[in-house]
Amino acid sequence: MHPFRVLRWTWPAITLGLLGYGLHVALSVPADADQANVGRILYYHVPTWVAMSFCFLVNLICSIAYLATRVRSPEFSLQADALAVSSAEMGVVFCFLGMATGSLWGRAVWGIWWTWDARLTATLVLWLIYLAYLVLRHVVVGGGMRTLAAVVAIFAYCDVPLVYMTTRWWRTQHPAPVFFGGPGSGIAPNLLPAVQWNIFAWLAWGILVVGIRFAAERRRQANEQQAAAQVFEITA
Amino acid sequence: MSHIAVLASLFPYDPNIDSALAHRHLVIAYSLVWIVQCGYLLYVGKKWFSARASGQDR
Repeated sequence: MHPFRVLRWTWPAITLGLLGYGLHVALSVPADADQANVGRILYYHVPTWVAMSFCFLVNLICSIAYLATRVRSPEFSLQADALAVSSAEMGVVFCFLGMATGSLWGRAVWGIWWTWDARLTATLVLWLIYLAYLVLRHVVVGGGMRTLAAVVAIFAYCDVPLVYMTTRWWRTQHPAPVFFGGPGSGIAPNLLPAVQWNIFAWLAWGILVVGIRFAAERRRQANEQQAAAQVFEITA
Repeated sequence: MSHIAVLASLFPYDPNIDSALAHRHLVIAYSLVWIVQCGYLLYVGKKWFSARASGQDR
């Protein structure tokens, strides 16, 4: 059996297992000493940002690949474009959930739903840019759409490292970085598995859903090419 | 309503260290993630089935 076929059936099972175990660990590790049980939002909040960063990185790589190969290898470039749009959609979903879980957490801990601090504002801008990228792909018609979308995606990605660095460059409402934040940062070792397992789980989920979305986009592209070929046959 | 109560009971809650608001927000945050992700999976699945159906029509 082809390894891809094996993976197609085993990956959903692995993902569901990871998600189930991740949820179990997130709810069973001891409560945070400072924030009590509401601190468990961290175990879903951080993985959504990791998964979002992964999706937008895939979108960037695929957009560059599309631009680099669209003349030399049109078939490969179409695959790259399909993966670009699939990963961008998933990234937008993760970004929305990161902001929503952060807002729910902020209301419980800070007493506010939202504040215009550097991290939150840069993240909102990031979400709006990628939303605009997806809208652009729907409203622009013609052969230039994919090229235009790929260029926009490269500019959009510039905000990702900016979002990451905001809590290092500016000390505003959002807490200092928990991970890779230098001396004094980090969480208790007994809480770390809850973060790690949920990062694995939501990354696996992201890959699964992007894979299905990619397959749908490839089929749509094939249908589009078939329709164009039929029109060409009629007019010829 | 009883379903929500059952769901909320799955999440750790200690009235000595947690407020009711914090517990509610913990439940909502986890539920929201699952609802949105499953909703998006349904959308993606629907897209895949409709692309496959329109491919078979040709």
